[in-house]
Amino acid sequence: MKSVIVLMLSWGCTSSVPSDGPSSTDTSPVENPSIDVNEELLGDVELSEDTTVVARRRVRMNVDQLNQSMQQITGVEWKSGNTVLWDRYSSTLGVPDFEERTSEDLEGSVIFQKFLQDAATYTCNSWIENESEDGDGYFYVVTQEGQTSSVLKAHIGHLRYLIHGISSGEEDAFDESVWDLYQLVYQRTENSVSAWQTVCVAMFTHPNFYTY
Amino acid sequence: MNRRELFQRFGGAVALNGLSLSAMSRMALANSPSSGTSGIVDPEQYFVFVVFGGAWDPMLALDPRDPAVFTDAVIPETKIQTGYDLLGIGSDPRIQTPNMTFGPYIGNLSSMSEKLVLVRGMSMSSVGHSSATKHALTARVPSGESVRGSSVATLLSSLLGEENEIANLVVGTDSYNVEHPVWSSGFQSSNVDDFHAALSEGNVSLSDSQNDALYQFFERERRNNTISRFDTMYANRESAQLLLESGTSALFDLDSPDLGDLKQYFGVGNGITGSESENALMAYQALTNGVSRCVTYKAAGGLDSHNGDDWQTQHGPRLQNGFNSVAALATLLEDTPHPSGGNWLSRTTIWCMSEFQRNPLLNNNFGRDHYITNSALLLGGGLVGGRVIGATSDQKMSSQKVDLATGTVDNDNGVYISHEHIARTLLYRLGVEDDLGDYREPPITALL
Repeated sequence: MKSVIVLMLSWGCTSSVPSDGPSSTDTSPVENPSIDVNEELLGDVELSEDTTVVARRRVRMNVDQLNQSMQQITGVEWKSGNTVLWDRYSSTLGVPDFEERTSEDLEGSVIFQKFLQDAATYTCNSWIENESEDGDGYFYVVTQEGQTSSVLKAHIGHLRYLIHGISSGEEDAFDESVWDLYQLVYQRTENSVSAWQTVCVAMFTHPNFYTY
Repeated sequence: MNRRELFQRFGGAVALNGLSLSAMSRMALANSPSSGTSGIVDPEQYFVFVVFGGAWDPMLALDPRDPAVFTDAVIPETKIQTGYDLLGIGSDPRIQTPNMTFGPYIGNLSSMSEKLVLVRGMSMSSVGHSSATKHALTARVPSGESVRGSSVATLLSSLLGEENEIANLVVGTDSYNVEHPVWSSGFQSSNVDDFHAALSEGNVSLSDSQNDALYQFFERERRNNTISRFDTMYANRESAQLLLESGTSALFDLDSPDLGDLKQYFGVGNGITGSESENALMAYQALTNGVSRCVTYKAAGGLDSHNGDDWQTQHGPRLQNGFNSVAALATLLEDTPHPSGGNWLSRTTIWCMSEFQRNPLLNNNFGRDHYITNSALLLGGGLVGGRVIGATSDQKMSSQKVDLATGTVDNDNGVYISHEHIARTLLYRLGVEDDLGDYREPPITALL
């Protein structure tokens, strides 16, 4: 075997060029020799259905996206005095400073959840307060006493579309769960504003809002 | 089960109800599945990881050289330049103790030399800050910028059990969890103020009725969830709420007069120290009040002194403040009796680390560039102190091989020491001989 390999190597290293081979400057196409193809049927195989699911892993919004999204939806920015609290906590929330950190930490960590809840609570309170005072506001009608359940449920669907970008379906489980949430808070507080605050916070702290 | 019942089950209410810490710890031991199976000899062990960010200068603290021997005249031969003459603190500012010699900025730790273990001549994998820091924190060489394992603190937290409110507290630096339970992930904040804010009510808060209703809503969502990534998010959301109700925030309220004595002791706000004193205070509070088993804090930043002016005026004082924070923490832990006997320092291992060290030769700007060698400092946790493991060479301050059994240099039969060996040693000292961190290196048996 060794002698065969040595023979092949020595043949491969020969400097002589076959006289009928293409020269280094000849770029005209060369027809490949034809290959016999055996078309005899070898048997049947069962093709399984392609089960590959084409989907991307969900990613958490970064802090800037959260801030912009919440403002876009509600017109409210999370602040204490003149301090934007997303900026105040940016380092702890893993926002890059491009000195020591160049990529953002997008984990839904405990501390992220805490500050998201704070931001949502502040934003929802201010949003509902602003809108309740405005006769054209989203929350003006639904915070009036004596509204029918169909009006309230429609508003839940509207909020969901606004915050999660998802349209409600028939007998939608998520909408039903939010309706239960609304009713529970309303029963305990007899205050529709408190109930809507809670629904709003639930929507903003739900992963359907802050992941995509 | 409502969220308060859940909270009680998690043990948060136990601390509030005033049961002793030892009772809490016994509960932790009894309830922790991991502690029963991992071979931990004594579960009442604690760890503090102290990070000096930017790469420290060994000449100024942990691995100095005699300026009478390493003169400017022999620099071409030794490639070592002490630079002490540029600091304006005397021709030989080294600090000699019976056990070891320090550089001029070791601070108050010099008086604790009989408790210290120095590891010198360590070999690093990188002189890039980001990847080298990941190596230091995880004790595994990262794959590019991606960590290949959890932080050592995360691993140890996962072994010590989940009964503490914040198993793994991290301030001022990063933390990684690749393969361990969610509850052992680092609770990460950039400073103590943010950490306190994370444990406190926001500027607007919901009522108990609203929070109860939200808890039930998210419980339903969690039960119906089909997206695995959301499971962690729901769990973390719940943890955040439970922490809020734990009453823990008062322990870390730097504005509270209740912390006045501690602030004075650690030097918080005295005009000399920086955030490292706050971080050390936080570590003390977290450990001794049963909040955390593992604490990682940043004791110094901005050590990347390529510039001569920065190296001559800032590097040393930053190092000294960091080491002083460690000395203050260790001293107070030693003065604080542990409910199960001994003092807190005897049960708390402190590991001071930096990503790599600075070059023994000054650069053209009279600062120091990066260098592939390193040192580490350990104390507490029952370690026999007053010892130096390994050494750098007298030419180029290169890494040298070490006999792990004796800690002495053995370039023929020894091995190069890195973070992996120290992490494995901590595991062994807990009683865990399996290589749970996949460090693939043996422990430094001289420290066992």
